[in-house]
Amino acid sequence: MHDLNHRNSDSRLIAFRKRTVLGVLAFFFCAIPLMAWAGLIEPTSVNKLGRYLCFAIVALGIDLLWGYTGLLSLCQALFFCLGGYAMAMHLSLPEGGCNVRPEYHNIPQFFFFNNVDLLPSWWKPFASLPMALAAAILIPALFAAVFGFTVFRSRVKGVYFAIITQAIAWGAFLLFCRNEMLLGGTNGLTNFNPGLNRDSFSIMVFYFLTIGMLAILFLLARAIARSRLGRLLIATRDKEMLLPFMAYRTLSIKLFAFVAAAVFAAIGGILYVPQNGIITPNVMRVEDSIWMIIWVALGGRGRLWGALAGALLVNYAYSIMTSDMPRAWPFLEGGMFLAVVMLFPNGLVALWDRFERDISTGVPLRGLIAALGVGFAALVLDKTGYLGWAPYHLAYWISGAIMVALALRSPTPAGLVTAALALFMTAEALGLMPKVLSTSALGIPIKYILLVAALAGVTLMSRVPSLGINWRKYGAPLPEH
Amino acid sequence: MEPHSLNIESIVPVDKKGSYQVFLEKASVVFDGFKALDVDEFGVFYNELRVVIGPNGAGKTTLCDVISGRTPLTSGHIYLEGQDVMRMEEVEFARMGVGRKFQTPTVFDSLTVYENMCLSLPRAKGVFKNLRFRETSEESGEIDAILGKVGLLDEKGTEARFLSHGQRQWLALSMLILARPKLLLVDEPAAGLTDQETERTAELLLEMKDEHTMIVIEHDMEFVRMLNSYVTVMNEGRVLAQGRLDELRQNDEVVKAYLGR
Repeated sequence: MHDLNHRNSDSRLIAFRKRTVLGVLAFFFCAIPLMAWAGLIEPTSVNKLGRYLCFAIVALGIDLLWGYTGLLSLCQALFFCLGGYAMAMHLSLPEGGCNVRPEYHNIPQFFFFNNVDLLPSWWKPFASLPMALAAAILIPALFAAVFGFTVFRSRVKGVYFAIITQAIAWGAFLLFCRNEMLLGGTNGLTNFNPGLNRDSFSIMVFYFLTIGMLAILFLLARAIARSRLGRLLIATRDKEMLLPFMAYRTLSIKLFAFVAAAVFAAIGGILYVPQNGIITPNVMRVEDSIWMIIWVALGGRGRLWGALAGALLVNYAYSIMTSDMPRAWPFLEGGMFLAVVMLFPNGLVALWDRFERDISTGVPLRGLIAALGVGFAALVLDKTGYLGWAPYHLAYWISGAIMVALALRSPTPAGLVTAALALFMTAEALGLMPKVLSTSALGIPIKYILLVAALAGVTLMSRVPSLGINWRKYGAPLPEH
Repeated sequence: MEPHSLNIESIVPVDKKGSYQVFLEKASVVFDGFKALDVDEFGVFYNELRVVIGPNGAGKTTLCDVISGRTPLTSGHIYLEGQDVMRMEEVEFARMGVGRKFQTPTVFDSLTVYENMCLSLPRAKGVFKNLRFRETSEESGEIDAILGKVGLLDEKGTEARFLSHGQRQWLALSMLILARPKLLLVDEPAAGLTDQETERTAELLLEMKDEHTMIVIEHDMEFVRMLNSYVTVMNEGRVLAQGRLDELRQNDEVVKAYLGR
């Protein structure tokens, strides 16, 4: 979004972006599988990452719908579940790998408890995987198309649109909770082949399926966003009333975004169910849809990779903090929200944007990258037990000191904050956080103290130039174009 | 031209509808009992530049809304090129070649000047066509030419929200020119502009005069004088008088409407 008209810095920035993209791809497609294969990260961590990547797919769709087109839909979790349920139906049948038992008439168990002896005819097509997949995509797409058409044709807009989608989500939730629906009621669908999310090979297969699908859908979403259609989406957000006078039908533009977002959500759901092992109506509540909106809001609406990063970040923050400090979570969630709203009203992508601005003003990056390398190596070494026998406290402090010394050679506060957050989240997500850092001091795990200290230190140093480094030298505002 | 329906109630000389680009007949718009528009006959010829003036609340903008399909008539008829378009939506009006510039400069704020212009190209209006759309070199050349004329070429890559009020007015006008409408509705193009900008806007409109039918709504008498064309005066939803500006100055009713006596 920033217009950087510096020729030299532009090429530097482009090179940096290219390397970052390559790095991220290498990390997700090579490093994680390799580390999992070497036993450095647990299959459960990979499984969790796989599930969160499904959420990232949903977030991409929400960004197209809300970030680009400006339509706040609070029923995306419903579309996620429609895809998920169709997949779950397949997995509940013997053809999908489910171990049905003769004492339950060889059909999914819950039917027995609902006094149903024969598989309902509308369940039968789901025995075939292609049929189930087709249904998983077509049902949400069709539902979104019909519902969207009625709503948009009646010119329902803004907050009223959000309320109607919310009502639909609530209605669907109540419906799916009923046993008469023959979809497992409040217990949902489960008892799939337990290997799907337990044995490391299946976990890896689904991980690759998910990340591959995410990559494809990201490219697709980007192609949409960059086409003239993408500009029309933004135009709809900016000034919808003008478009009809330019001979564009806003109904079809909005319908496209709504259906596309529904399909993205459904694909997320399809991939989520086998990795999660269960789907219940609880996932389609309004709260869940709002939760999905929060991912995009925190990540940065209107920026595709922002939505993607937001989904991962918020879910990991939730997972980490609820396991460490379950009672503090509501406060932490509120605090996180306040911090982002106050510091980065456009989401966390703004942090990255500042980092890129620093880069284009010529900040040297070697120190930062080296510090990240040392940090990551220390994490891996610790996990291998290499540091375990040494007077390891010392080893930690030494590697920590090296990291700080290296990092200070790159005077970019935004970059340092990004790197600190990235390292912390990666360590937590992959289960690489050293045990000693998880022990508590004063009732708070040391890792949080370190993280907060690092963030506070960077903020302080960027404000007070007399602390040794001439941050101002690089922090100069860019020349106006 | 399509043959007209044999509706006995609307006995209008066939050529009357046909010879006008747009023709309103016994047209009225009523909002909650308030007659915003009550026009017996109003027609604009092909390739005419018509100025509509009138005091506040005279129904000028409602007239624009009716001709661009934004507000449906409560009763009466509206013909575009002789075709009855009573039941059509805004989009269909636009597809029949009606273009409109609003009173406040309406552009898309988060898009750049060039992207704004690009959306205005009169091609590929469907969703999926836009997915594969690429502007041809002639089209981008045309965009550059128009932007050059209004002095926005340097701002090509600037997001519209960073433009000044005058620049936004010109961007809106440029988008309208690029869309090549047969009939242009221009609502208060000089509102909020400096004298110099006003003059330039008048020049622009006059340049387009030969190829387009134009209806310009304006308050600014100086601007109207610059356009030097046939003027319709409206008051309380009705057409009060029509003629040249200097003729109208002699008209007692017009003077009364403006001075409120």
